[in-house]
Amino acid sequence: MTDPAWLTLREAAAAVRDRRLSSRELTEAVLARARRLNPRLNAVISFDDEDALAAADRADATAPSGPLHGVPLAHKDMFHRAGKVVTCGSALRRGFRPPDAAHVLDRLAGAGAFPWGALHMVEFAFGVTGHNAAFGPARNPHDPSRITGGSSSGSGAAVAAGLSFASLGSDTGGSVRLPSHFCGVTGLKTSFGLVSRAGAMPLSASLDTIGALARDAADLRLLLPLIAGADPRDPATGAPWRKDARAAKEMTIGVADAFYVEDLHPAVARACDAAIETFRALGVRVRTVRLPDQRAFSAAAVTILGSEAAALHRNGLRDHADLYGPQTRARLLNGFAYPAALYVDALRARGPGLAAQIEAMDACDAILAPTAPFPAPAIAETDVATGAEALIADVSRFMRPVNYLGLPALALPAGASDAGLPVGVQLMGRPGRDDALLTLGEAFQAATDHHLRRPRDPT
Amino acid sequence: MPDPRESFDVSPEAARAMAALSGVTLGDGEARRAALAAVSAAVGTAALRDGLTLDDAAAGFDVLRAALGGSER
Repeated sequence: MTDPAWLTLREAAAAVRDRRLSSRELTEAVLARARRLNPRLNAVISFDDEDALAAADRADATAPSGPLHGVPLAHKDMFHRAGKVVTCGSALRRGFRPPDAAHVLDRLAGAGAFPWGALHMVEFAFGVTGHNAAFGPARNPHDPSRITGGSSSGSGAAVAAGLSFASLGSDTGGSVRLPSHFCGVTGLKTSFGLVSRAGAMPLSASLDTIGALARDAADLRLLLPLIAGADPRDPATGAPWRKDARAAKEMTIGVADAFYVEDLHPAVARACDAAIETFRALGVRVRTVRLPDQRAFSAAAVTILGSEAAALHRNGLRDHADLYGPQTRARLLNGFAYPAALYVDALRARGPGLAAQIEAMDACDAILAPTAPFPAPAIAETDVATGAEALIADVSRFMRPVNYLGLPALALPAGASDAGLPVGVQLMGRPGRDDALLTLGEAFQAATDHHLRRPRDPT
Repeated sequence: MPDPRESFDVSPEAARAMAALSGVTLGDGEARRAALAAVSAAVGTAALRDGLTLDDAAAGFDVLRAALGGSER
């Protein structure tokens, strides 16, 4: 049998359900691999071996109770686990033990899954590279001298390296999609309001979304409907997962004529061109579109994010500024200089902005664009201490319009650089039409093998 | 075309004063960085609010390039 750690989420769940593999065997395999590789990757913040193995034994002793019965998973360390330390990637939270579990973890538990630990993240999810002053940087499984992307840095590294079959993350400004791009995994940033954020660390109430990273789009289709839908504890939620019965060949993809095509690394440009041709060959209609000025959307997103994050961290920065890392602190402090009127303007412009974007999309189900402009840079060259602010900003150049407008976006592995570093594309969809993106993603991955490329295991 | 400079003080001193209202102290570098980030945000938001392109909104805004290249966008 394949190393259990490399099973897809679907395969792992089926193996336990059909009793071809016990939950204990699966959990032990994952824990052993994570223990072995974590010194190299720094993807894990905490291990819960004892609780995980006890949960596995309970699963093995009972009849299958849900679609993820007996499957161990690990998630970004920002989702509350009752009684467990949840660091949010911060030295400030080293003693934080929430009394209740996050809604999404309750939903996954209801489906039969259980956590085996908690994964690395950028401090308070406010950063795009995977640096962390308190825990050290997460390292890219394809080249440990390179960034994972963030802020769901451990989720990207863990899924890519076979430490978790899938992993929950959050995306406020690219935090699911960037690790997906740099680590070569598949990630969905969900539509705003589709998944409850109750019990998840907040960063920006107007922009925060919960998403997931997995080995392929089919695994995301298994996982995400399990956690989507209304939750009274998060008033932004309401709509359930909306199934789209169409085939990919009945859909249309748009390609922007500006912004998303500027200053691309050759490997990224090649990946975009090849992806367009793949979709054409699959029978998907492709057309060029002229979108509203995406830079203005980005600026408005930064205004909202900066203002809301500064408000959340006002007391922390006032009383414990020394416990924040330099990159996070510097970015948070910017938010105090945005006038309230500017923040309100940015919020008010969102509705008209969304209307303009949808009108420009015309009949397109998704816009295809690069996820990031280049493959993973080195950890050293993206450390804020080295004055790399412009490069750090460039990492998230293609992220923020989606967050500002509340759209779903699917990040797909789509190629590699000459040095073997993954690069990807994103499909930016219509609000609430997350399922259509997964249909396109599954079709793409049935025709390509980028998502199957694994990092080399250390000897 | 509105010019954000007419209604928006982008100086580091202004940034420092605004942060102080929240009880947060900004050093010299932090205040300059925050001011530049605010310029970028003001231009982008002005473009959205007034239906302009970002380039139009930024015309004549001589610190925009530094703001966009300096910290956030």
